[in-house]
Amino acid sequence: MLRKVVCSGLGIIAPNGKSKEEFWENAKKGESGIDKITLYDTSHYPIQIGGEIKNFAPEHYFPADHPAPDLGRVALLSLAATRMALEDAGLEETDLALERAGVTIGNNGDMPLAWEIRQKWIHGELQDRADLIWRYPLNSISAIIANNFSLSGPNAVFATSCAAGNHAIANAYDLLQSGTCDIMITGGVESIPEDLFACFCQLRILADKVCQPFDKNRKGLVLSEGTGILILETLEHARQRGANIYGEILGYGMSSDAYHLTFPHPSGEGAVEAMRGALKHAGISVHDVDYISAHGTGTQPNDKIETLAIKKVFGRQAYNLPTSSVKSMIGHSLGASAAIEACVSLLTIQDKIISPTINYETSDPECDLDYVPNKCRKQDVKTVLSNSFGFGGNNVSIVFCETEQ
Amino acid sequence: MVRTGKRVVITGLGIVSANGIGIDPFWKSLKEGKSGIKKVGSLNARQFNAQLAGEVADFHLDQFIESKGLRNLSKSSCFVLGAARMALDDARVDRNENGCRETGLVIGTYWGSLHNMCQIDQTLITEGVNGILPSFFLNVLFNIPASQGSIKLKMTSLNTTLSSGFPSGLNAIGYGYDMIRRGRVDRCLAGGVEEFCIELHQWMSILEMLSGTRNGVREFCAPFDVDRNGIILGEGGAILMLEEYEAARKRGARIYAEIIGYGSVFETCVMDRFLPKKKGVKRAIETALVDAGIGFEGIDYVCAHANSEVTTDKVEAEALQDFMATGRRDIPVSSIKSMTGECFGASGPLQIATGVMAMKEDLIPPTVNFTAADPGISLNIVSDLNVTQKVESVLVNSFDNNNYSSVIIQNYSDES
Repeated sequence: MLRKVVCSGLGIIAPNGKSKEEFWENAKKGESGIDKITLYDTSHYPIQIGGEIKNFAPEHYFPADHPAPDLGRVALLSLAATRMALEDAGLEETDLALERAGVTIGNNGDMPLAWEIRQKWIHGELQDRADLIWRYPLNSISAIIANNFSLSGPNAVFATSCAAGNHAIANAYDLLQSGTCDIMITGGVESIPEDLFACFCQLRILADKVCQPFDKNRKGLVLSEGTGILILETLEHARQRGANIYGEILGYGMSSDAYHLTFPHPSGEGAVEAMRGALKHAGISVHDVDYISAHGTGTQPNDKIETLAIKKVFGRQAYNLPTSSVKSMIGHSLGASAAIEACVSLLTIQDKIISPTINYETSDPECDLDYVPNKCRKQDVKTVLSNSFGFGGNNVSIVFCETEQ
Repeated sequence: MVRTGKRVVITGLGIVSANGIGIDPFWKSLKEGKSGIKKVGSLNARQFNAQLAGEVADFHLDQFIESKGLRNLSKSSCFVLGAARMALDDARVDRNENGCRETGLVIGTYWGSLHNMCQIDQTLITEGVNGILPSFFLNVLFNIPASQGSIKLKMTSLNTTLSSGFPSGLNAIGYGYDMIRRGRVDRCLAGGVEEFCIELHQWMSILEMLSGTRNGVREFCAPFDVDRNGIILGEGGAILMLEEYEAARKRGARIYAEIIGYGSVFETCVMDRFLPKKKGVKRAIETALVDAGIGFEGIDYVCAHANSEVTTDKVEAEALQDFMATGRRDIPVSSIKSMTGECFGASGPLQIATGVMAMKEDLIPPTVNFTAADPGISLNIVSDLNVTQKVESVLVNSFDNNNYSSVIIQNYSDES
């Protein structure tokens, strides 16, 4: 028998808020977290802005008797968010020493640490920090989370660039639905080191001032760091322990553009396939969806094609369907972005308030949907479709809905 | 838990390895005990004691894929494209119609394109940002091999890249197996990829992981042997075509084997220490056996993880001996890493392909370099050539130092 899968805890650290509460308050107010980059000197790069977690103090997230371990920024962000998510779910660490609790994380490698390791190697200093080498491989973050919280179920990192968070959540959902696990810690984390930032500058897809998804004058995406961690469990498991339930995952759809590494398919085929697949898997119709949490990166091609794809899937209904992008406020945190947007989807269902697309000034004839411009909106949202479309053409859409009481 | 859902069969094999390009040359090398491990030409002999690796040779991607747009591809992308094309052809999937479109692709990898990333960083440090070529950068991202697979082979179904330690590739196959048995897709290419590079060789030297690192010991890959003293790095790409049984039958596909059990666990440990635990290995085997609905005595051959690392091989042997303690003690065990080297993400899928061929020909490939077992290891380790016996089920083991452990059990099928 297939089990229902629900979310009982959220942990968020984003450029506009270092906890779920702070993030969500600011997201509803339309507060941006985009600012000048301070983690490294960007004066010799064409772009100087990004979304950073300013004044991230790991010790605030760890109790005195269990201090923050000596790890890099990405590991500490993910551990801090996991701690908050577990607390939010009302789970003690002792509840988790379970073989049926696993970890799936969207992450494209601990890139700041990898950059540090490679620099040490280039400068002939790696010999002195040989202990760092085993933290280089792609799966290191999910191993660190599992080791910290004694979770010995299935464990994997999904590295599908910008869609990684949704791939991780979809896999966690499968492991719960099929009965392999009772609890999953899932989501995504990312931080942008200088070498990656430099590479993105060379791609010429970064905005120089603000992130303006769906605006006619949008200039590109803004890179950022952050993490969103979700505690998923079977409905039965959550009810048994009397947990607060944010909502249910109804299904997901996956596809591949099979077109280009950075450009979306011009007719939106891959995005259409992912959204249709998600609705079909969830067993709902286009009329059941109340809100779309868009991929909405702020690049010319993405926003145009995402709009086109939404119209193909939803028809006339698309014009009555609020569609907003939280990336307008927090930028694009690659492997973490879909996970943070999953958190946004669930918070929207809980609060019945849709967060806006900020920096929206000029309408674009090719982007003519209701993007909830600049101001949040109260609305009875029961079902959300969350889109993520990655570099390389990896697409995943997930349907979240209110849990019947 | 009993097996639920649809049946999943293997209908195609694609191999890029140091032991041969394509399943037939690969298998021929293995059964003849021919190693792909050789001296690395580009290594500075005075700098390192360890000099050997299993590098892919004579692989020309343009023999498999139209040569347009292959210039900036990473080695991982080349291996995946070659192996995926071979698996599609081996499975006789219709290139036109919708054959490729409806096929998913899942790749497991561990180190990614380390060499290319180091090149980018070197360029950034010496020449500054303008020295970085955008097309070169895009091709180093972890998910690009699988994405290039979808682009160049026109596959629009699910496409993902995952990592879970040395078993990354085996877990990619487990992911595909789960997707098919749950009815999400009918057909999926799944496997793993890994690149050898000088940087990795140096890093593993620093960690003293490589055989021959210490003075006075022989540099060789000798799983389970008393004189084993470290791993030798390998590389390659191995991809299988997985299909839902009824769908495969309906299109008249040749069925190599059926996947009947999968187990994947994590054992918590102290990071940065090379200490695999027997407990995790045993849990993975137990989980896969329960999934398959069989006991350990139902296994005819164990295609081992053993990579010649001192602790690893002992842990695996002890785990297997525990399962054999109460039943058959003579189940043959061998490790192809003696001939391929440790290929990380590609190792598990290479072992699965080996298992398929062992069942097809009722032949156990040898563990070369094995002469005398480590005291405490009392397994039936096959080291001779031409060991023939009935093989109808194979257990493939894959685990690592961070205590990721995965196991897949496959069964012979003579249906076609």
